[in-house]
Amino acid sequence: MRVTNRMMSQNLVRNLGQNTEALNRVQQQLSSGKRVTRPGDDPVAAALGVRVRDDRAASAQFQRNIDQAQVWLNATDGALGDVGDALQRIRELTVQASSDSYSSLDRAAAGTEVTQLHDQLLATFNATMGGQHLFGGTTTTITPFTKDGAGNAVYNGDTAVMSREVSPGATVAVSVPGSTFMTLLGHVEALKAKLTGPSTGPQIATSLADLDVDLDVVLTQRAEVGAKVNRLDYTRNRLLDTDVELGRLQAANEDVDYAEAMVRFTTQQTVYQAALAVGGRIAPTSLMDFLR
Amino acid sequence: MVSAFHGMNTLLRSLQSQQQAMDTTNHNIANANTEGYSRQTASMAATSAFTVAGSNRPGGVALQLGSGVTVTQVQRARDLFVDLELRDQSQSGEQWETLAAGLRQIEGLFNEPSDQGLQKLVSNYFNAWSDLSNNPESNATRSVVRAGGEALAVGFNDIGQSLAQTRQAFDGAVTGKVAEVNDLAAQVAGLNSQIVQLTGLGDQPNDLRDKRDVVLDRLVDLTGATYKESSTGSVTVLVGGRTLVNDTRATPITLESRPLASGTNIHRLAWSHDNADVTIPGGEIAGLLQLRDEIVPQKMRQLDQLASRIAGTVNDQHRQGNGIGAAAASVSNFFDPMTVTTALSGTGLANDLTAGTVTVGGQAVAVTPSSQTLNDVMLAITTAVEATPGTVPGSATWALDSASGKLSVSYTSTTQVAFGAPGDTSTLLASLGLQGAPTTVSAAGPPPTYTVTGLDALPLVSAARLSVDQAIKNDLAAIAAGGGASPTTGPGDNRNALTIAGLQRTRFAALGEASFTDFYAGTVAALGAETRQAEETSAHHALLTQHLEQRRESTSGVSLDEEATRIIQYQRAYQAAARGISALDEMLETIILRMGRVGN
Repeated sequence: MRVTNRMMSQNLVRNLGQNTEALNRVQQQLSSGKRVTRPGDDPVAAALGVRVRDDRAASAQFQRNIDQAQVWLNATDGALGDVGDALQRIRELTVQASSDSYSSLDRAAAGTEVTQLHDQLLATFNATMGGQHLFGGTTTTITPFTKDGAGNAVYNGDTAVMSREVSPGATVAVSVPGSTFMTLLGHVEALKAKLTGPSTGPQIATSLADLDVDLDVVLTQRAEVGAKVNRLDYTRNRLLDTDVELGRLQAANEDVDYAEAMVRFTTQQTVYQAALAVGGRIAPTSLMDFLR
Repeated sequence: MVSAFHGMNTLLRSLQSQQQAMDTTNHNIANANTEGYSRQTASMAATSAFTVAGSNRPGGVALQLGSGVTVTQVQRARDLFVDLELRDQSQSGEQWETLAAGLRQIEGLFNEPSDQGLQKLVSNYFNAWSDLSNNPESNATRSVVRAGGEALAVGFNDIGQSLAQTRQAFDGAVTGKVAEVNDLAAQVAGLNSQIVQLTGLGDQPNDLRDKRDVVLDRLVDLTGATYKESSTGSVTVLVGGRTLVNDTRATPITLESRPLASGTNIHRLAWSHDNADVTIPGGEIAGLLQLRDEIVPQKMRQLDQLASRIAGTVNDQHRQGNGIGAAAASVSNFFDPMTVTTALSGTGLANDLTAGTVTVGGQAVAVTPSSQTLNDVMLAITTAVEATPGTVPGSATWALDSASGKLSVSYTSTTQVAFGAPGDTSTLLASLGLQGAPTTVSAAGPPPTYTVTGLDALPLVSAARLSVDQAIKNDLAAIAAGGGASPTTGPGDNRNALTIAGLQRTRFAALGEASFTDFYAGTVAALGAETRQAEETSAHHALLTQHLEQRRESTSGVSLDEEATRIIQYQRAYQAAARGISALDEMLETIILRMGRVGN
């Protein structure tokens, strides 16, 4: 084929251009650490990248939700623990006061302590966490329990249960509405009335059965809360594991393999230098140099 | 008997011919780097031989004496077939390269995969609702939801507006290139006239042909035109089957401004003499038109559909719930709803809607997007359907299915009503998807009920104009975190917030059974695949073009080595002829000065 000077220079320019383009690409990959920077680099990887990022963001959100839910549940558990302790004391007092050896003065003294414990129960049930009342149902901004004129508890909240979303589509109820404990408070108030008014030992003893039922209620609630905390721990661990895997997937999908890129870079550089050297030798030579 | 001066003429001719050949070689050397130059060769031929009088021998061959050389023509080395192939490949390459460059620009707007793209904003927005579900009473979490919504709206606005601007830019490029095409066509016409004149006189206008070839190269690259050379030497250029240049007449392409309802100004290409549409089969302009009329609008529509779905479903769910405190009884949207009562020019349909008229069942319906809403225009259409003879009065209705997002028109009639007709100046029916849409016929008794359903979900919300509703901007308490099936309760009620946060994982029929992220990921992947294909095809064509360019250069290019050798060749011939003249001169001197002088 007939080759002209212009063909040779055009070829040289074109090949140098291709070499620099490849060098630029490798350099970009090495300095950014990313193999895929735009959808055209690898469309499937780009789509996967979008989805994986979304999943990871959602996973982080669920972990945040779990953290908050556990704080709430732990606070509830603590409160219920205090309630249990107070009830135990009330039961002790009931046992003592139901004995025939107790005089009405002794019973009155017991009644004073039960009143105090009753108020303590109300205070516990009015506990807050981060500005929200634990036992008000969804009415979290007003005090759930107040006392009426007779000193009996009045529930101002509602009966709804609050839920938190802890994994896709899965919600966990984290609150116990205070209405659950109205019966318990009723029993304590009845006992208080018996102790401060005239009553006999056997009459007081009937409160024991009620108090046992109440203690059971508290224990059951605590057990549920404990079970939920465990479940949330398990869910969080699963989320963390999945997130690690997602992170690995994202890196494998988009990050550049440094070793391979460095080899490519060195090769490309050598090719470029060879092209320059050869071009430099051949391009300027022509017959004109040799004619007289 | 041959004249003594016969040799002189032979040598003189040689001198002149070698001189001319040398001039041609010098011309080649001078133009070694000229774009589009084809090397020229002086063809030399022996002049007619001279029959020597009186040399006829019976039964023998008459003596013929050669009389020298002459340059018969200066030919340019050009392979017309290579030219044809090269131009064909080159215009394909240009078209794909333009597509690739345009698509890369669009890719840049989306900026995925990254942590700064739309996906992140969608994620953040729904995560903010999840945070709100943990603490619905707090103004802090509420303001994060509002901020997330605003950021999402702004994200959509940015991409939507940038796409619109890019589309306008492509249109600007088309206008510029059409002006160039008209200019080049005029040049071809001018060169045609000159070449035909000279060819008619018997000359070979090599340099003019070279010039015309350069112009044709560029013209074909721009438009994918085809051309034919006639025997008179004039070239006819055809674009899309119509004549652009015929002999000395060039038909200009005019640009007719057609503003879209969204404000973007698109130009229609038309032939100046009969205003018919110009079909550009290939080249850069075809690539730009494809970007302007198909690719960018498709991306805009997908974005609008995504924005429509997100805004629509969040709004629908938001209205099911209620705010807290003073706003507990109020019902509001979260995003500014662009619905059937918004002027068409403010919706997502504005991107491909033009004002004008459409024909429905033979009746003309006027379309003014700046003042009409979807309600208005559908009312006009159903009225037109009812006015068609054969339609049962009161049977024409329209509906927008909220699940699938598709528009449908139903009517009971003895005949099918035609939607659209040639001569419609508005693109309304195409935008609504009602033109040529599938028709279902109900089995119920005569007359039958026809239903025309749009092919795609309507993108009512315009991504470029999405914003958070004013009610939310004014009052954080209006954010409906609470509410659900049973009567609502206190400010800690987070059921609505949980449902809205869960929307991120819901699959929607209108998006093709995909969730928001899936749909968006699909859009990104499709864009990436298109870009990749354009780049690879363009690289493939570039390679073929290179190869053909080399062949052209091989045939027509100037090799300095060759020309240098030829210089020597002609120079030596010239020297020899000059020597010959000197020798002849001496011989004549012998005759003239010495003959007849004896003994002196």
